[in-house]
Amino acid sequence: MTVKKMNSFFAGQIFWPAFFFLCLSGSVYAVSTTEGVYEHVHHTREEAIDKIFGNGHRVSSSNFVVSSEQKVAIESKLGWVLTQNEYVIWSVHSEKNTLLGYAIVLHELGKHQPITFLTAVTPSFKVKDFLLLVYREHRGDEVKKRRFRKQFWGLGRDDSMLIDIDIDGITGATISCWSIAEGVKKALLLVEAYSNEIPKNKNDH
Amino acid sequence: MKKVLVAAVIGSLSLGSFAETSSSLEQIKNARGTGGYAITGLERSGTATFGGYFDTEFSYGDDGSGKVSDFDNHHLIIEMAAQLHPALLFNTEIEYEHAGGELKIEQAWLDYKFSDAFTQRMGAVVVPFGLVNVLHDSDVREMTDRGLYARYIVPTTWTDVGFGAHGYFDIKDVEVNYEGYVVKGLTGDVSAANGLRSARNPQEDDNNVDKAIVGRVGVSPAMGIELGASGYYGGYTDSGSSAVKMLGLDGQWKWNAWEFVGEYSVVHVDVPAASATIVPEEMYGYYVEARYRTAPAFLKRAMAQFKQPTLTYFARLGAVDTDVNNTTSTTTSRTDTELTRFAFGFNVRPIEHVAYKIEYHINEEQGEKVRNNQVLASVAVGF
Repeated sequence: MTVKKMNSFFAGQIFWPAFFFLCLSGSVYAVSTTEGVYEHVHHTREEAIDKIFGNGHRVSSSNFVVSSEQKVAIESKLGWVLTQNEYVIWSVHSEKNTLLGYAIVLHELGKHQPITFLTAVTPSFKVKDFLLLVYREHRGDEVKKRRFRKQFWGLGRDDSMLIDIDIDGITGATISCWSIAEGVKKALLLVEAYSNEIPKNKNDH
Repeated sequence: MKKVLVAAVIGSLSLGSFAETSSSLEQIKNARGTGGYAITGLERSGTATFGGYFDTEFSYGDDGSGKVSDFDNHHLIIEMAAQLHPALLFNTEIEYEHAGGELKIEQAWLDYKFSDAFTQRMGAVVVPFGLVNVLHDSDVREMTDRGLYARYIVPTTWTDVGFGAHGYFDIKDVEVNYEGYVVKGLTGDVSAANGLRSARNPQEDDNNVDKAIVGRVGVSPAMGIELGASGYYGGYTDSGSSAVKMLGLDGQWKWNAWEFVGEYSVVHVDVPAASATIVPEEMYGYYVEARYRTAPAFLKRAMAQFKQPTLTYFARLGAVDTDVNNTTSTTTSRTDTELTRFAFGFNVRPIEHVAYKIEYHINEEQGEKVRNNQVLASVAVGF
C-alpha cells in the first residue's frame, strides 16, 4: 500500500469517523460533570478509613497539639520545621475494641497546590497505607496507585524514604512523590508522639 | 517584534490569572471597559496556572578549529495551563531560546479527558517518540546535554500539529500507557548532514497532503521498570509519495539509588532519485545512561536550609549514524556521519526542580578521537 493510499484510507475509514464519535460522546460526558475549579476528590476521609481498615470498626478523633518539646524532637527526626502545631488524629478500633491503628490527614505542597491525603499507621507505628483525598495538580496523581503506595507499607519512622534512592519515584510526578514521602514520614512521627499522650477532646462518631 | 509579542502574551495571560472574571461566554462577548469590545485576558477564566523552566549553560572546549567558551541563556520556557472543566485541560509551552534568538510554540493543545485510559488531545503536541523528546525539560533531565540521539535521530524538541489520544490503564500492578497522533509530519529536509533535525516543521503549512502517524506504547510491569516501543510513518516529500519510517525501543530501570535509561531507533527513508546525494536511506542512533542518586550528609549540612538536597552522578554513551549505507556519499569512505559521545558528570539539586549540573563530553567521529571535547555546566530551574 502506498503512502497516499494509506493516508486516504486512514482519513476516510478511521480518522473522521473516530473524530465525530468522540465529539458526540464528549457532549454526553460534558453535561454530566460539574464546572468549577480543578480539585479532584479521590476519597472522603471516611471512605479512605473504610478502604484501609475494612468495615466494622469504630473511629474516634482527637485534637493533638504538639508541645514545644515534641516539636523539637519531631523536627530533629524530619530535618525540617513543622509549620503547623495542631492536628486531628483518628484512632481506629475493632468492634471488640482492639486498636487497629491510626489515621491522620495532611496537606503537603505539591508543585503548585497542596495534596491532601490520609496516612494510616499501625499500632506499632508502621505505615499501613495512604490514600489521596484531594489532588489539585494537573498531573501527577499516579501517586494514588497501589504499586507506588506499597513501597511505603511497613516502613517506620527510622526508615529512609528518599525518592529515587529508597522509594522509586514516578517519572512526571516526582514532586508529588517527594510531597507524599515527606508527609508520610511526618505522619508517623506525629502519630507516635500523639500516642504517648492521653487523648484530649476525644469524640466517638 | 518577537520580544514585544512575548511580553504582550505573558502580560495579558498573567493579568487574567489574577482577575476576578467570569467564564460566561455571554459576558465575554459583552465585555466593555478594560478591553472594550476586544477580548482580553481579563475576560477569560481565572483558573490558569503558570509554570515553565529556565536554564543557562556554560560551555568550554575545542570545536576542532579553536577554543570555545560561551554562556548561553538557552531556554526560557513559559508554560500556562488552564483546567477549564474537570474534563478539559488547555496547556501551552512558549519557548524563548538563546536569550531571544528563537521564539516558538512548543506545545499548545486541548485535552478532553474521558477517563485515565482515554484522553483525546488536539493541537501542537510534543511528538511521542521515545523518552527524551517527551521528557525534555531542563530541570527534569539530569544532564545539560540532550545527546546526539536527540539531535539527529529523534530531533528534540520535536513538535507537530495534529490530533490523537493518550492514556494509561492498569492490569493489576502492571501499567500500560500509550500516546498516538495523526500529525502533519516531517518535511523534505531530511539529510545525512542533519539527520531529521531540519525536517521538523510544525510552524508552516504542510508541504504535502499526506498525514503522518506517530505513537508510543509503554508497559511498566513494576514500579521503576518501563519498556516502550515507538513508531512513525509518514510522507515527507512535497508529493507525499516517499515516506520516513521509524521504529524505536526504549527502557527505564530504577533499582534503589540506581537508574538506567536507554533508547535505540532506526530510520528508513524512501529516497527520490533526485535527492540521492542528500537524503540517506537509513539512519540509526542509541544511548544508554546510568544515574546514581544519593543524599550525603555533607550536602545536607552544606545546604541546611533545604529538606533533602541530592547529588546525582551520571554517565551516558550515545552514538548515531545518519547515513548507515553511505548512499549519499560519492566516495566509499565517508567519515562524518558516524558520531559517538561519552559524557559523565554530576548534578546537585537543593530542591527537586532546581539542578546545578556539570559534565565532560568526549566526542569521536567514526572511532577517531577529534579535538572537540567539551565541558558543560548549567543551572536548570523548573518553576
